[in-house]
Order: sequence, then structure tokens, then C-alpha cells
Amino acid sequence: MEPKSILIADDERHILNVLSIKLRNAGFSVIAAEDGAEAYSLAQSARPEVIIADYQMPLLSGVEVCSKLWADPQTRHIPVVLLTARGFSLSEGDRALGNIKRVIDKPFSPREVLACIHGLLAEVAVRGH
Amino acid sequence: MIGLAKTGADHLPGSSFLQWAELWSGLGLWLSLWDERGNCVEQAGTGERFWNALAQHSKQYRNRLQQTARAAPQTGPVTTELDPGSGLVVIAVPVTRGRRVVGSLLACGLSPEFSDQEVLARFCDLHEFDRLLCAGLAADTPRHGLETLRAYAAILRHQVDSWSAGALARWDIEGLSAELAQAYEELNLIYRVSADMTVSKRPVAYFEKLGAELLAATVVESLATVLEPPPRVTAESAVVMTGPLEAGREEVLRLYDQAHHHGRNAGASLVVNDAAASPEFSWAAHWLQRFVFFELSRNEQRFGGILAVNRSDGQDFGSEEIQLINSMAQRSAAFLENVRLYDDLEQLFMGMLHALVSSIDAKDPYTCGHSQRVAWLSRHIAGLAGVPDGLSQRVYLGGLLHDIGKIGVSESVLGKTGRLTPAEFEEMKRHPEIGARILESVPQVGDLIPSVLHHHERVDGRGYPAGLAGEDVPFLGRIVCLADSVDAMTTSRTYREARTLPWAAAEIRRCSGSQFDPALADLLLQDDLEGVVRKMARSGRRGPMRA
Repeated sequence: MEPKSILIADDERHILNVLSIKLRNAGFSVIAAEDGAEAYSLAQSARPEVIIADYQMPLLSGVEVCSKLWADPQTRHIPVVLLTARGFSLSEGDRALGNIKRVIDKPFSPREVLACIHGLLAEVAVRGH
Repeated sequence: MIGLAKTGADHLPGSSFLQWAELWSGLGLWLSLWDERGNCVEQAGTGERFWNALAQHSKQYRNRLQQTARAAPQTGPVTTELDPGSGLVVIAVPVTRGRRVVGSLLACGLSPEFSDQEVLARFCDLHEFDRLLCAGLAADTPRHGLETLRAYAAILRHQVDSWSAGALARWDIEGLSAELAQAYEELNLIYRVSADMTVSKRPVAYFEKLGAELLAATVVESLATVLEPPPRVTAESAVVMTGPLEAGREEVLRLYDQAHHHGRNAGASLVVNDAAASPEFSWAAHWLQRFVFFELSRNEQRFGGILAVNRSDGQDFGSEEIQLINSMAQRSAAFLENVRLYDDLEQLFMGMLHALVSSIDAKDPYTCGHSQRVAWLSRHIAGLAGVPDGLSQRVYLGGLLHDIGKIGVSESVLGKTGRLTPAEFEEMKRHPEIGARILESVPQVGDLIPSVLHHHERVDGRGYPAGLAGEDVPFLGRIVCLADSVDAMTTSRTYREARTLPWAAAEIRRCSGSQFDPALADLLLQDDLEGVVRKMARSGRRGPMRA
């Protein structure tokens, strides 16, 4: 069976490295983006199962990427996990975006992120997408 | 073609090699890639008619290549004739990872000598190759002089070295990323566990959580925490176990005892990596392979210890997990010290309060234990009214302190047998206000003032000191008022004997709505009054009572 693909987006390469090793070891295929614009474009072309995106990124922020993906019927179903600096919280408007499923503080526990991904994929399976 | 060996060789260039092979074939060089044991793992593609035919045909050629690959020195490249005078030159470039040679790249080329008939003849004899066929196949293959080949060797060396440096860097990044991921896990563990260190959290629950977190974040297989009771308290030690540990409570306690008394440097943790081999611990060998013991102590107080038992990967315990658990053990010891201090303070506070209140009650033998009983009953009534546990404890304290103002009433009035004169009664009526004034100077009991000040108010407004009515009487005051009266009814006084229970119940009903809050009176009447009064008696030694 083809491995499920996950898009990870962060301008900090060491975060991309940590995440991609953890995800690859868990059997996923990983696509990486280093800024918001690349993330948006890859999300459209590759249609990953799940997206993990940093909040702070050049060109487009994590929330702006979510907003654009939510507005597009082809991509609005893709669940997104946002990574943010500790102590940060989303605005009311941000939280209204239905594709943001989870917000995780940095430094994150890689184990927790992986568990979150599995949970989201299970939810999608149950919903029958 | 040379038979290829299958290796998991990520330390040898795979796709890069194929690109190089194509580039160099344009110059007539044939590339092959070999591992450190001299197995061929890659070779240039099928476009090379001469080279492929040679490899296919000549065992001698294949063997010589293999020998050259095996002999590739650390410092290359080496450019030599495959066989002396054969006109076939091979360049050998070592592939390194750091200081280690992990394989070699061979590039075969033809020198101008190859066109010489004699050389060709010798070559074909050696390799049992048909001369005409050989010459035909090699016709299009360019020849290169030794100087040129040496120049090519340098370029090949550079290509391989660049690739090796890149591979090493990628290897470093993977290693670093794995370390970073582990560091993130540990940080998160510390954040989560620290958030749990509130004094209201009971130690057993805290260590259950700590155990679960440590097992999830490290390679430790099981964790057992032993918590000793505080000094001068007779109780059993608590043992918290997490993980697939196949030991019973007694076995864990025995190991704890041994570990605790084992001689070692102060502050160091005890590490035993082979329990079966040590005479001291081999008794436990059926469930114990290895363990580390961390003391939980601080400022010369001993709280217990943590035992990390067995590793899920079967390896020895190392400094990484020892450091993490040690650091958590120290934080936990500080937490336990705080819990103990807090518990001590609470005990001290309650002890002092009881002593103070008893000294006031003791002035009148008939009111001995009165405040304790009112405290108990007040808390009980609060429970019936749905007050949550934390608050009902405050109600208890309020009941305990309600008559504290009596310390300002003269003993002659307090101890008088028979009825009080109006003047004496006025003096007695001051005790709520006196009590409230005493408590005002202690901010921590400020919330209890209503029970002291208003326990003689009546819901019909005919009480004292303020004549408040209905809902204006604070809730605490209404509760203590009822509890106070019930105790007064069911104990003997200076001026009368104790009332019977039916009498008391009737009186409560009669005064419901006037003296007592009707809702609270109802709750008490619907409860088991006899049982309540009996339990109340146990909470404070009473004077003579009539059943």
C-alpha cells in the first residue's frame, strides 16, 4: 500500500529534519516546504493527507495558508496542525477556520505530534473521506 | 557484466554514481563501484560494448578488478595498468566516510599502446578474447595518454570526495535530528510533570503520572517509587509501580531497602547493570536484569526512592536516561518536601485551633466538646445542602470558632447556674461581636467571620447582634445557628437536662421559618436525626445526656 503523504512546512530546517525523520520512520512519505507560499503551492499540487505547518513563516503565515486552503473546495478537507511559539494563542477569527484541527506549542514532543497525526487520520477514515 | 552484490550501502554513492558513469563514458572511461569487501555494487550501463563484452567474457579481468578494488588505499587515486603492458589502465579512487575507507570507485580506460598489435595480442591471449572481435569492439573507444589519465584521476577523486563530504553531513544531520527529537521529548516531559507539582496533588497520583511520562519518553521498561511515611507516623510505605514489572510489593520494598543501604557516594545514584551476577541482588534475578536507584531526599529528610527497572532494549543503563530521571527525582524531592511542610502546617493550625477552642469550652463543664460538635454538625448540614468538600471544611472551621468570643465574657456569667439576669444576658450577647473582632486581625480566617458574628441571628429578624432577616443572614450564620441549637437541645445545661430526640425534632420543626432557615431545617429533619446526634457525640466529648 502506498504510504500516506504528509506536508511539513517550517522555515527552520532543523524542525523539518526532526519531523521528517520521525514521520518517515513511522512509514509516512514526507514533503517539505520552507515558506508559506511553497507550502500552499505544494498542498495544492501534492494533496497531502495531513499538513503540519509553523505559524511564523516567510511569505505566508501558517494561518494565511490555512485560510487559502479552507477557501478552496479542493483542499478544504485537509486537516492542519499548527506549530506555535509557547504561550501564543490564535485569534477568534483564526480559530473559526475549520481546517485547523490542533495547535501544538514548540518545542513539541515528536511523539505527541505523531500521535496527533494518527488521530487525525483515524478521524478522516471514520468520516469516510 | 559483473555480477552485482546487494548491500544496504547508503554509505556508497548510488544515483550519483550512475550520473558519473554516464558523464565519463563520453570520454571512453568505464566506471564500477565496489564495497570494502571487494564486491561490485554498481557498474556503468550497457552502452559500453567493449567494456561489457570484456567483463562478460573474461574471468581474469573480473578478478583483477576485484583485486584492485580490495587493495584501494586510503590515499588515492592510483593509476596503474591492470596488467603490465596490457594497454588497459585502471584508476582506483577510495570512497571514504570520515577516516574509514568504505569502498572504491574504479575507472577503466585504454592507453594508446592498446592499438599496438603486440599489446593487443598479449591482451587477448591473457583474457582469452578473440583478437578480431576485440579490435572491432575497441575501435570507437578513445585512447588516453598517462598524463591525461592522471588528470582524470584527480577529477574523479574530487567528485568522490565531494560526495563523501555531503554524505557525512547528511549522516550528521540525521544523528543530530534524532538527538534533538529526544531533547524535545525530555523538555516536554519536564514541562508536563512540573505543571503537576501543586501541593494539593497527592504524592501517589503525582508519581503515577511521573512514571507514565518517564516510561513513554525513555527506554526504561518499568518504574517503582517507594514513599515512606513522615517521621512519627505509623503507616506503611506507599509503592507506586508503572510498567510490566513482575515483582510484588514486598519484593520491591526489599530491593528498595537494599539499594538504600548500599554504600555509595552521597548524591550519586546506584547503578547495577547485571543483577544476576551480583550476590546481593541475584535473589531477584527472575524479574530483575538491571536497575538504577535514585534517592528522594532533601535537607537530610528522606522521603523514599525511585527504582528504574530494566530497559526495553536490553542494554545497560547509560548516563542519558540516568541524568533525566535524576533531575526529575530531585524536583520531585523538593515537591515532597513542600507537601510535607504544607501538611505539617495544616496539622499545626488545626491542632492550635482545637486547643484554643477546647480551653474556652472547658470553662463550663457542660459545654465541654460543644464547639467540636457544632463544627461537625455544621459541616454535616453543609454537606446535606450540597456544599462541595473544600468549602465544607471551611464551614467546619467556622463552627469550631463560633463561640470564640466567649473569652471576653466574664467567668461568673459563663459559669452561672440558673437563669441570667438581663444585664448578664446583655454581656453574653456581646460574644458574637467580640469573636468577630478577634478574627478580623487574622486574614486567613476572614471568611469565617459570618459564622461567629451571625450565629445568633434569626431568619425572622429577631436575633442579635444586627437583627438581620431571611436571606440577609449569611449562609454560614444560618448553618451554625441550627447546629448550635441542636447541640444545645441534646446536651444538658446548667439550668436543665438534655432534651429527648423526639422533643428536639419537634422543636426544630416548630422553629423552622422563625429561628431556623426552613430549607436547612427540612434537610436535617429528613436525615437520620438519631444517627446524626450519635455521630456528633463522638466528635466532641459531651456532658450528661438523656436519650
